[in-house]
Formats: sequence, structure tokens, C-alpha cells
Amino acid sequence: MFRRPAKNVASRCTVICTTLILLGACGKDDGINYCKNHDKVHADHADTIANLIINVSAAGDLEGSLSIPEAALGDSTAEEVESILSSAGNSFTLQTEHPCTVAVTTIATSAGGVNASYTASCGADNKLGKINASLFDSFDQLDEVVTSMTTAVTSKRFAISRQCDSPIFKLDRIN
Amino acid sequence: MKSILKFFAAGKDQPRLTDTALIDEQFRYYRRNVITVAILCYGLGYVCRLALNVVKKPLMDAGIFTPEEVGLIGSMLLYGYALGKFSNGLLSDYANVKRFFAAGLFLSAMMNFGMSFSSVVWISALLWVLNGWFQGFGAPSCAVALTSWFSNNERGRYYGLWSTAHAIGEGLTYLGIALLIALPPKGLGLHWQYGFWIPATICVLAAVIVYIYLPDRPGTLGLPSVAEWRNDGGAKAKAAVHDAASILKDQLRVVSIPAIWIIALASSSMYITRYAVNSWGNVYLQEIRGFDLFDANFFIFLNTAAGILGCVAYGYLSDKLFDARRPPANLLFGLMELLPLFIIFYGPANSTVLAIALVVYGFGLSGILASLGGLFALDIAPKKVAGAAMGFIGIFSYFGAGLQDYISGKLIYDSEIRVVFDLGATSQTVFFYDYSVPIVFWIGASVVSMILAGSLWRVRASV
Repeated sequence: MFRRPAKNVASRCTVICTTLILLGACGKDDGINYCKNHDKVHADHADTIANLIINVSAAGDLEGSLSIPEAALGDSTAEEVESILSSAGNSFTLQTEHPCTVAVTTIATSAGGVNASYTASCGADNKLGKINASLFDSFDQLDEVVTSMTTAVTSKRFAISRQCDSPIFKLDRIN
Repeated sequence: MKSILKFFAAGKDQPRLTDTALIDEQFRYYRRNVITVAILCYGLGYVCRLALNVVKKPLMDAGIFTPEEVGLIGSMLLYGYALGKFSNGLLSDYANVKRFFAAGLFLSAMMNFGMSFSSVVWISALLWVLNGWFQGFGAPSCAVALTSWFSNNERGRYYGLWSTAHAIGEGLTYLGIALLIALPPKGLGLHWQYGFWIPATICVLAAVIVYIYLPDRPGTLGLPSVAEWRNDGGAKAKAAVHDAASILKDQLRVVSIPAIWIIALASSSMYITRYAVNSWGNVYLQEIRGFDLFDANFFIFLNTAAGILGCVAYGYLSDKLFDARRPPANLLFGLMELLPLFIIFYGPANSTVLAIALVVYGFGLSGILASLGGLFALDIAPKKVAGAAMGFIGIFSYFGAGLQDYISGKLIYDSEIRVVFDLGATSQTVFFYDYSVPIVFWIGASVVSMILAGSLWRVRASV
């Protein structure tokens, strides 16, 4: 009356655990889609999307460059794009404790598209809290921007796409 | 209320069986169940304790919680656990451990389910402090079960076996749960909510196993005490002395021993580093070193796995090499814990070097924690109130660990740079953090711990 079947506990648990984990894991299958599996399509359109590079130094200096390929300009002419980029505020604004000195250093149009570069001097004791990138507001035709940002301690590369709800970090396909 | 208490109360002793063969058979069967269930289910229970650590970065990346908020929520579990360790230790002495332990696992699972749906800081904090308390049902229940079913002269072996359970849980969490959340091809790329759902499912399953297979005390099944069954005379005599002692008076004596306070502070400082690496290490490795979620968690797993060996090695070396003197062993293991931290945080960006540093760190940390959190205190405290000394140090340790989680989160959050892309009606944000200040805090805590432990160089074990 005291004895329960001595079939071992571990083997039963293993079977039940595995089943439940597999069931749980199979609960949601989004399949291949543009945002979740972006690494599978990114290489094919990398040449046609805008690139933003931001470097923030420990001394509080910021350097930024933006290149918009011709294919990403849509109906806009290079002159119109240059005109928008000539004001740094149309690309980004900075939120710091004290104001920074922001300048557009170059704007150039080539066969590949339009390139602009910026600098901002904020000072070492002037904490940078937020960079507001307003590219998508300034350029309606812009669908995706790949950003590479480096700070004094880390760097990240990601894409922002109008078609996705969140930033895409996985851009390169691993074979 | 009465019916709840009655449900959890230890069963009444049944009329003693007389058939020796049946008693032997029953003991063999139930002892096998006790050790299997204790290791397996205590280990599985860990998954519900550590789930937040794995999904921290996805939660921060999604902008659901800031690092400060995540730190605050994480600290709640440790405060709850500290309280739970104390209160549940007392309760478990009177409980039917299978029901007590199963309830803890089940309730912990429910807290994990709740966490998966909460994006409100105070609700998550409340769920997590309760989770900490429910998690505190496990260790005392297992300790009571091991004490009831294994006698003094064999308990060390089985206790040692059971102690490996946390590695099972940490391994399952840092590898298994990370595998679910990490992006393909390394992981399944599931939503972060699965990081709570799967642990919750595992804990419900563990609760069922405990409820079915973990027996109450031998007497409630009509069996003699294990000391009687094994004819372990020492255990019987010791039990008698224990019953007669005026425990409370002796327990209060613990707080009047200065060395116990120093050990408690040293342990607390070391717990700051331990939980900093376990809670934030994987986030740091992803944020600053650029590892993916799976690799970052794998590195953290390495340090916890090495910890199993560290515990065993500390006991052996301090006994054999230093003639049971803990301070020299503390220094040795303390250095093995401290020096790799500099390599982990300031060393070369090389995966092999990082892995080796984490293994050595985990080995040293477990050794020094085995001492500060247990052995050294047991040497100094009066033997019959060893439990009180452990409880006192435990509360300090987990309070330190909890405080760490919040402070680390706050320091990380203070360094935040948000890059916000406006997309008309919506926006997308990417966060950048600087861990320089928290790292100084984490390493500094280890240095303080070593200095405090070193100040007890001349202290010897009480008789």
C-alpha cells in the first residue's frame, strides 16, 4: 500500500519537460518576414539605403555623417536634399545639459548620392542624454537608415525601417 | 486560515511498521526519491528565479523598463529571498515539506506568468519580491527533507550532491532560456515573454513532481527515524541535546560576536560582486562587448559551472593545505576571484581569454563564498546556533545583493544615451550605456570584502 511504481522520476520528467518546452516553443511562428529575418534581405538592398555614422568622444565631441544614395532620394532632386541637409536640425538634434555648438562641415553631391557631415562640440562635462534623429520626418521617401554609432565605450550598428516596429540589429547573414 | 495551516502542517506519525524487510524497501525507495526530487526540482526552481536576468536586455531594448527600473525589480527578488530564507526556514520545521516546496514552486511560477504581462514597474516589483519569498520555500524544504531521510554520517555526501542543483538551474537558465530568446541561428528568437512562460511551465511541472514524489517525514509513513534505521547513534544523541537546549538565548549571542559582523559585511560585499556579474554580466557583455544574447549568457554560465568545483576545492584545500584555517584559503580564493575581474572588464577583447577569466573568477568566487557565507562563520559561531549565524549572514548577504541590483541599475541608467528616430506617429529608440562606474563599484566591493575577511587573519575556530 505504500509503494508507488518505482519507474524513475527523472525519465518521466525528461519526457514531460521536453514535450512542454517544445510545445511552448512552437506556440508562435512568425515565419520569414522583412523585419524579423532582415539579415536575409539586407545585403540585397544595402547599396540603396541611407547610412548614418555617429561618433561620440569621451571629450563630448560628436561627429556625424549621412549618406543618402540616389536610389533612396525618390522624387527629390539632389539640390532639394542638399537644402534640407544644410540645416543640421533637419538631420538630428541633441539633448544635453548645456547647449552644444553644432555645425554642418560638408555637403556634397556625387554620382552615388548626397553626403553630409556634421560636428558638435558639447564639452566633457556636458552630459549627452538624447540624440533625436529627424531624418524620417525630413525625408518622406526615406524607408530605411542603417546607423553605426560609436561612443567612448561601445558601438552599435542597426537599421531603422518604416516597415518595422523596432530597430533591427541583425543585419549581416551568418552562413 | 486554519485550513491553510492544516494543509501545510507536517503529517501525524502513523503506527510504526514492523516488517523489517518492508521498512528497508520503503526507505530505499523514498530516499532515492528524496535525493532525486531535491536535486531535480530545486534546480528547476532556479529557472523561475533567474528568468529576469536573461530577458533584461530585451526588456531594456524594447523600452519597457529602464536599467534603473530593471535593477529595482531585480533587487526586490533578493530582498524577498532574504526574508524568505529567514521566515521559511522557521516555517519549514513545522511543514509537510512536499506541500510547502510544491506550493513555493507553483507560486513562483505564477509570479513568472505575471511578470510576462506586466509593463508597470511597481506591479513587476511586487511580483518579484513575492517570487523571492516563494523561492525561499525551496532550500529549507530540501534541507528538512535531507535531514529527515539521511542520517548524520551520510548527510554531507548527499548535501554535497544536492548543492550541485543550483548549477543545473543556472545552466538551464543561462543556456536553455537564452536559447529560446536568442536570435537564430543560435536561438529560436522567441519573444521575451517566453523567457517567463517557459520557466513558469518548468516550475509548475517541478511542483507537480515534488507533490507526487517527495515524501513527508519517515514517521508520517509509519517508518522509524533514519538515524534509528541506519543505527546512527551519534545522530540520535545529538537530536536529544538539540531538543534540550535553550536555543533563543544562544541565538542572540551570535550578534554579540564582532567577527560574525565582519564576516556578514564581507559576505555582503562579495554578494554584491556575485550578483552584479550574474545579473548584469550578460547585459554588459551584450552592450559593451558586442556578444549576442546566447554567447553572453554562455559566458555567465561558465562562471557558475566552475563554481561547483570551487566550492569543493575550497573545503578540501582549507582543510588539507591550511590545517582548517580559513583566512589563508580566503586570501587565495579571494585573489582568484578578484584578479580575473580586471581581465573580464579591462582585458583584451578575446573570447578565449574572457572565458578563462570567467572560469577562474567563478572558481574563486564560489570558494570564498563557501567560506564567508558558511564555513568561516560556522567555525566562529557556537556550534549549536550555527543556523542562526548562517541566517544572520544570509540576510546581510542578500540585502547587499539586492541593494547592488538597484545601485547598478541606477548607475547604468545615469549613463544612458538614447538615439530616437521619429517616424511620424511612432518612434524607435536605441539605447547606449556606459558601465565604467558600475564596474568600479563591482570590483570595489570585492576589494572591500577581501580587506574585511583579511582583518580576521588571526581568528581561529571556536571549539
